[in-house]
This record gives sequence, C-alpha cells and structure tokens, in this order.
Amino acid sequence: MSLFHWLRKKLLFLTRANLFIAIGFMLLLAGWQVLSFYTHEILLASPAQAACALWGIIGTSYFNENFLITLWRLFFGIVSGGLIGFVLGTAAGLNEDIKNILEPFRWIMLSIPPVVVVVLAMLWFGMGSKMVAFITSVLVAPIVYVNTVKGIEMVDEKLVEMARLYKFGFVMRIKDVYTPAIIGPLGAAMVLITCMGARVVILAELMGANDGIGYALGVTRSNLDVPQLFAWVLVTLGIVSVFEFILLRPVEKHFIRWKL
Amino acid sequence: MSPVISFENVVKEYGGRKVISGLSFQIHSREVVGLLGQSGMGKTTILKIIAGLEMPSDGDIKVIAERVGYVFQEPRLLPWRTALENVMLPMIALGMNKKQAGEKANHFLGEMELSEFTHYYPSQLSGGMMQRVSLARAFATEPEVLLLDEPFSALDLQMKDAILSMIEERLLVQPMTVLYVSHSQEEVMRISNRIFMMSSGSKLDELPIQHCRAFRAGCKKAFLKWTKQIGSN
Repeated sequence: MSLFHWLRKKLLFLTRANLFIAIGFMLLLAGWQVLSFYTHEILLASPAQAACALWGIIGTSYFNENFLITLWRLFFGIVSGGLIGFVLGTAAGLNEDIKNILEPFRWIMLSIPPVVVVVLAMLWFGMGSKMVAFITSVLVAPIVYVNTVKGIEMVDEKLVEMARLYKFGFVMRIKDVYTPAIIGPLGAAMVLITCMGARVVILAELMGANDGIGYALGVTRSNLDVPQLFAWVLVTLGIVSVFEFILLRPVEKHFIRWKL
Repeated sequence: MSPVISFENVVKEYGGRKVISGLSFQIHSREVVGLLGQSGMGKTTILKIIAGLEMPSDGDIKVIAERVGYVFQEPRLLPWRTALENVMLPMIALGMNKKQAGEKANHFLGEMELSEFTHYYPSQLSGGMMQRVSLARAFATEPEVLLLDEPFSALDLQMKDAILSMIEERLLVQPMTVLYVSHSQEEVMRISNRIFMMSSGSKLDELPIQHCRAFRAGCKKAFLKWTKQIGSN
C-alpha cells in the first residue's frame, strides 16, 4: 500500500488534490522560513514570529475593532459592487443598446488605476467607511459586469427560444434560464473580486482611514513592528479564504450540482 | 369549419435568401398533418412561424390557438432543472400554482413512463428519456396546436416506436391539431390523417388519401410513385 493510500485511509478528506495543495503550503512555509533565516528581522519576520504576533493580538479590542470593520467594508463592497455589476451586466447582456451605452464606462472603470480611484474617493467622501466601500464597489462592479455580459451572451440560444415559446416571463427567464447558465463565469468572478476586494479595501484603509486592517498595517509599519505586520497579512489571507472556501465555493457548488 | 392554421402567400427570407416563397395551406382543428420533405426546404421555418418564434417577411398567417406546444429536434431541457421542474416551468409560466403544476407534471411524466426519473437532471437521462420529458412538457401545457419537428431523428427504432405509441394514445385522450415534420414516411404515415410533401419553398403537395390508406395497409407502391412524380415536377 502506497503512503498516499495509507494516509487516505487514515484521513478521509485527503484527496489527491488536497494532498498536493498541502504540499504547496508546506513549500510556501519552508520558503518563507528559509528566506527569513537569511534576511534581517526588520525586513522579514519568520512564520513563527508572525504566528506569535498573531497570537498576541487576537482577541484584543484593537484587533476586534480593526478586523470587524475591514470585514464589514469588504462584505459591503463585494455585495454592492457585485449587485451593481450583475444588474448592469444582465441588462447589457440582454440588450445590445444598453451594452453600447455602458461600453465607455466599462472601459474607463477597468483601465483606471485603483490608486486614482482611492485618491478621488478621499477627496469626495473624506476618510472612513464610505470612502472604502465606494472604492471597493467601483472596482469590483466592472469585473462582475464583464463576466455577466459574457455569460449571458454565451447562453444557449435554443434554450432562450424554448423560454420564448413557453412564454416565460422576464423574472422567470432571469431566474431559470440566464442566471443558472452564467453561474460558472459568475462564480469565477466572485472569487476574483473577493481577492481583489480585500487588496483594495486594505489599500484604501492604509491611505485614508482611521481604522481597519489597512490602518493597523500603517501603524505597524510606522512602529517597525514587522512580526505584527505579517500577522495582519495572515489575518487578511484568513478573511479571503473564509469568503472563498466557506462562502463562495459551497454556494457555487450548490448551483452547479446538476453538472456533478 | 374555419382553419386553425392558415398560410396565405407566406414569404420568409434570411439575409435576402428566400427559404419560403408564396406558400399557402390550411390545417383544420384536430387534424394530424404530416409534413415530408428534404432538408433545407423550410419545414422547420414553417413550424417556427406557426409557433411565433419567427416572423414572416411577407404574407398572411392565422394561428387560432392560445397555446402552442413544440417538440424540437433536440429536447431543449434546462440542464440545471430536474425532469419534473422542466415539465412544471411552462405551466407555472401560464399562471398555474406550483402544487398543481407539480401534480400535472408528475402525471404526464408517468404517462411517458418516467415516474422513477422525475428528480433526475437531463444529464442523467438517455436521449430517449429526454425527448419523452420534452414531449411531457408539451402535452402538459394542453396545447391546441402541437408542433413536432423531427423529434425522434436521433433515436433508435424501438424507442421511436414506443414514443409514437405514446403520442397516439395521448391524442386519443387529448385531441389537438398536430403538424408533424419528419424525413421518415413510416412515422408520418403512422399518425397523420393528412400528409403534405414539400418539394420546394413555395409548394406543398397533398398526398391523396387513398395512397395513405394503401401505405398503411402495406402497399407502398402508390406512395413511392407519387413522391417520384412530385420530385420530377
């Protein structure tokens, strides 16, 4: 019996894919450890130092406040940006004229550097949650928009014709024909915007907020507290992985169960 | 008796190419009409115009039916909905509540011998099963006009025979006007009481009823002579 099969018997969740993901994580940690060994601790904290720093801040009111406000901003940004992108994308996918009207907006929103949006939002909204949520929504919406339009354009024309024949209403067409058909590209877009959203929220907080993980990162940088800086990075990765693996993937899996 | 379907000099063009030119015919209530003809003659276009899925470029059309059922060449089931849901959805679209639609869908799926597969997704069903779901979906809406567009071309003989029997049985219980397009003379002869042969986009020739009876009785000579004659014209 091979080592893999022996391990699999012991650990039921251990699939071949999971095994290789675990190997990837090990390599990442090993690389980080080796790199930190040869680098001054003021530049790079070791995994152990980062873990200790994380242990030190978790549960403190400082951690809770900054963690929860970032989580809320990220959630709000993804949901509002996702909804705007989905609604506009659906309208544009179904109507060529709407798509053409929105084309210049799409082009600008996808081409503009995030930092420009951050600076403008700071000017318009000042510091705080409004500004961060605005930036996240504005940067997330075009990605969902593009994926929704592409998805709708790829829906099987024969199914659309069948829906017309049996007089499916507008809501029914969206709910039963278009949305399930585009859930694949939309799921991929949601994963993408979650990762991008976290980066954008933290960047915006770093540049123009008095709280949140981005703000905490700025403080640790000023204090040259590198282990805590890495601890906050681990927290960010944790948030993204919870969004992706505990929320988005199961939802996506539920909607594409007919393919399994 | 006024016709349920009436075409008067109907023209249909696609990008300047005439698929149907000046076609006229009438179909009366509860007639089961077979439509034979080679590929590319515009048979599917006729069905799509009747169903309201295509608009004619010119001519007059009358279809006196509130509900039109259509069984396409391929089943066209929503892959993300179960067999039961696929049958239910058109009824819900017509305003029926979910409970009633579910009961009716179950009944029609049972009639198609699919009671055990109501919660299967289309990808879990065979081609014949999917086409029967499609047929159940069409029957469940209780259409006044049913359009069958070579629905069994991809099925084996045994399955074709079984499904044709199901259609015959259903038509006895629920008479409706049927237009059945096929390449297969046997299939068309079996369920139709009028047969048209489409030799070009502008002309439908009707098979004399005595040829139809003779064909059913096993004598195909007269029918073959007729089709040759139409071909040479």
